[in-house]
Amino acid sequence: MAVHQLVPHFRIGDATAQAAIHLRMLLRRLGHWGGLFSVSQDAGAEALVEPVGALRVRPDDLVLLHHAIGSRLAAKLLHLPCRRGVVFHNLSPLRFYRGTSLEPLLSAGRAQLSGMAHHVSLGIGVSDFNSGELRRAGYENVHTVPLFVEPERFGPDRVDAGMTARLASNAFTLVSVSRVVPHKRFEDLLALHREVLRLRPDARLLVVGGVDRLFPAVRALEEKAARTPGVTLLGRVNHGELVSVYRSGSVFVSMSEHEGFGVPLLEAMAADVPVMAYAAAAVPETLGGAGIGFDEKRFALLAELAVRLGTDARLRSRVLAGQRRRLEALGADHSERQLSAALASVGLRRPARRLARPRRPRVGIVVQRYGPGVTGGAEAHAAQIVARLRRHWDIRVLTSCAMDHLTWANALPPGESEVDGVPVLRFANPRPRAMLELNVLSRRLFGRSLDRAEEEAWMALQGPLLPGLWRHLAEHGGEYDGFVAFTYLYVSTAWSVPLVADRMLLVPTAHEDEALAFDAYAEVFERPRALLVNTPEELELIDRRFPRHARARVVGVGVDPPSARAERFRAQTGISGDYLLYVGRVERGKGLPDLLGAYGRLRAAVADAPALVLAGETSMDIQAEGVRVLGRVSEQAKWDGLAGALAAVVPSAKESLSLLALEAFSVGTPVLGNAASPVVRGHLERSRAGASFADGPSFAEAVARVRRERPALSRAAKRYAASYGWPRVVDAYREEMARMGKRR
Amino acid sequence: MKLLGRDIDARSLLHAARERLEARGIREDALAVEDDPEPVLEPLSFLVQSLEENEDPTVGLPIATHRTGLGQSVVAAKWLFRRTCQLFINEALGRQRLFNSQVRDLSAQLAAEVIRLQARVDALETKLLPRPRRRRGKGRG
Repeated sequence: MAVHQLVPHFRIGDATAQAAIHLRMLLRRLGHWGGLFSVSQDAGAEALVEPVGALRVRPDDLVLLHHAIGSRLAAKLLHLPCRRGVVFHNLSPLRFYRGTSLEPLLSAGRAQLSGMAHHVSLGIGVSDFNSGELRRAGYENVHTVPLFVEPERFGPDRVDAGMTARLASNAFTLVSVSRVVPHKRFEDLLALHREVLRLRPDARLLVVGGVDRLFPAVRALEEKAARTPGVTLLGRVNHGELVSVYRSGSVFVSMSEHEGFGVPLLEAMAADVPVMAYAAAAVPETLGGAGIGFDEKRFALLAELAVRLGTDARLRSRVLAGQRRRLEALGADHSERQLSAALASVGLRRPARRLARPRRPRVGIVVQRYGPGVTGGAEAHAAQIVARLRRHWDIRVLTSCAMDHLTWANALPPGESEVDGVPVLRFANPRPRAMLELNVLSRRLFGRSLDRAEEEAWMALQGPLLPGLWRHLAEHGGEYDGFVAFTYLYVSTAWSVPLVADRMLLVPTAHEDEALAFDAYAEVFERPRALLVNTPEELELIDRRFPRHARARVVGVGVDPPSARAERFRAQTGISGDYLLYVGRVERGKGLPDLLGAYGRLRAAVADAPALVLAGETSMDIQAEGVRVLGRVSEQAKWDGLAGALAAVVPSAKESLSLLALEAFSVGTPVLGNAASPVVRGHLERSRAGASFADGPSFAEAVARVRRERPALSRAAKRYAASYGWPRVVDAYREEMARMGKRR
Repeated sequence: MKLLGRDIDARSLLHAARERLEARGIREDALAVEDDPEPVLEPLSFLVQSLEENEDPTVGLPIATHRTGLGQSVVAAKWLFRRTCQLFINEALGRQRLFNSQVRDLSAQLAAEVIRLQARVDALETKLLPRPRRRRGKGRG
C-alpha cells in the first residue's frame, strides 16, 4: 500500500510543502512509499510533485490531505476509493479577515474540516493544539505528528555570504519571520521596535516574509514601517539568506496571535538566536519551555526584556542551551515515532520481513539501468557483481526500462524479463529527464544553501523516477534477504535505500560532485546496513561529507582480463604507431574538452605525438588532428586496444573507482590520469604505473615520461592490478550479506 | 504579564524589567487580545448558505489588488468596467444565474434530506446498539 499526500498549492519554502516533504522522508524511513500531488506547484518542482489528476489509488492505499485553507482537494479526498486522512496545519482565524477576499476561503476551509471528519480514518494534527481542533470538529482517530526542522541546515556554514555582508552590523537587531498578514500582528512588532529604539537608538527590525498587499491594513502598515527608523522588510528570501537573517539577529520575536505550530520558532532555535514569542495557540507547546513566552503585549516591558535577552551573555547562553534541548526533543526521530503510531492505528505497518536464513539468500540488485548494450561505470559494476555472485545468491535485478542515461526514456518493456538467465524486473519512468530543465535548475541551486524541498526537487528532476520500484520495495521488500543498490546520486537508489535500509548494502560510487553537498543524501549514506566503497579516496570523501555514515569497507571490483591482442585492434582500426586510448562515454562531463585542449597543444609541440583514440558512445562533435573517434567498440576490441596502447587516458575528474585505469593496469598498460581526481591520483600513487596531468604542459610531460619508461611502468601496472582479484570482492559481498540475518 | 520558560528566572527577569521601566517613569497596560477558539462550521448548512450568498454571478467580488503605486489603477479600471459593462455582464451570465439557483435548490434539498436521515440513523443506533458495559472497579467483588 502507498501513502500519498495532497498539497493544495506546493510552494517551495512554505511550511505546508516542507511538511509534506518531511512527512515523505519519515514515511520512507518507516518503509512506506507515496507520491506528492497538488493543484499547482512552483516552477522546478514539476518532477517532485505531480498534478492531482495523475493520482491513481488502490483500495488499501492511504491518501493524506494537508489542510490549511479551503481547497477543492477536500471534495476530491471525500470520493477517493481508498483510506483517507487529514494532516491539519490549522486555519488562520476568521476574525482577522472579515470582509476580505480571504474570508470565503477560510470559512470554506473550516466547513471542509468538519465535513471530512466522518469520511477519514485518520486525523493528524501537527501540534496537540491542532489535534484538539480536529477532535472538536468530530475526528475520532487523532494523532499528533509535530513538524520539525533539520538543525544542520541553519548552521553558520549555511548563510548566504551576500546577505550576511549586507546585514553586518553591531546594532541590536530584532528578527521576525512571517508573512505580513493581519493575524501575524506586524503592528505589534513595530510597536515593540519603537520601544526598543528608546533603549537602543541604533536598533534594527528585520522582517522576512511576503507582504500581502491585498489587505488595506497591511498596505498602511508597510507605509508606517517605511517611516520607522531601522525597519527593513526583506520580503521573501532564499534559504541561505534566511539563515543569514536569523544569524544576524540579537533576538527572534513573534507577535503572531495564531500559530498552528510555528516553524520559525524552531528555525530560530536552530540558528542559535534566543526566541521571544507571544504565547498564542500552539506557540507554548512548540516552545515547550524553551525561549521566552509571554502572555501580554506590554511593549515597553518586552523591549526591556528583549534587550536584556540579547545582551546579557549568561541569560542568552542559558536560553540557547534550553532551545537546543528543545530542538533535540522535537527532532525527526520523535516525529517518526508519532507517525508510526498514527499509521499503525489504521493498520499500516512495515511489511513483515522474511525470517528464514537460507543458504542462498534472495537478493535484489537496485541499479538505474541494466542489460546488454547499457554502458556506464556503475552499471558495468552492477553487471559484474551480478555475474560473480549469481553462483551464491538468488538474484533479481530491479531497474528501469531505460537504455539512455540522459533521458531515462523507457526503451525496454516494463515487467519481468531475463538477462543472461538472471531475472530482471523493470519499472517504467513516468517522466523522462529534461536535461535543459535539469541544467537550469542545477545552475540555480548548486553552491547555494538549500532547504530539503529544493534539494528533493532537483533529485526528482535528476531521476530516474521509478514509483513502481518504490511500491515494490514497500510492499514486497520483506520477501528479500538483502539488497545491493548502486549509485547514491539517482533517486532510483536514494529513495529506495531508506525503504529497506535494514537489509541494504549501498555501493555509492561517490565522487566530488555538487549534489553531494545536499543534506537530503545523508539518509542514503547513514541508513543502509553498510557501504561498500571502491577506493580509500572515496571513503575519505564520504567521511568528510557524512561523518555519521553507515559502517563502510573498501571493496572495489576485481579485474579479470581476457587474452588480448594489440595487432587485432590495429588491424580492425587501421591505427599504426603509438596511440593513447580513452574508453568510455565521449561527453563533456567526462573531461574530454580539457583532454582535447591538452592534446592539441602536445600535437603542436611534438611532431611525432601519439594519436589520441576515443572509444565509446559519443555525444560530442570532435574534429581535431590526430584524434580518432571510434564510437562504441566490442568488449574484446576494448581489451585489444588497451593492450596495445602507449597509455590509457582517464580525463574525468569525477571518478569513484576508475575501472578503465584498473583494466589498463591489468594488461600492463600505464595510465595518464586527471590530477583533479583524488581516486585516479590515488591509483597512480599506489601503483607507480603512470602519471597525472593538470594542463597542457603536464600532459606533454606525462606522455614523454610514459614513452621513456613504458616497460618499467608496465611491470608496475601488472603488479598493482594483481591485488584486484575477484575472490576477495566476492567474499566481501557474501560476508556482508550473511550479516543481514544478525541485528545491527 | 506572565513569562513562560524553563531556562529563565521569570520572576526576577520581570522584576528587573519593571524596575528599569519605573526608573524611566513608564507605566503600561496590556493590550487586549481576542483569542477565542474558532467555531466549528457544520459543512452542509455552511455550504448551502454560501451557495445562496454567491449564487448570482453577475455580482462582482470586492475589488482589490496586491499591486502598489500605479498598480492601484487596476482597481479603478475594474470599477469602471463594472459600471459601464454591467448590462452585458447580466446578459452573458443570465443562464448561469438560473443554473446556479437550481444548484442552490437542489443542494438545499439534498442537504436537508441528509441531515434528516443522519438524525434518524443516530436515533436508531442509539436504540438498537447495546450500551457499553461499565467495568467493575478492582476493589470490588
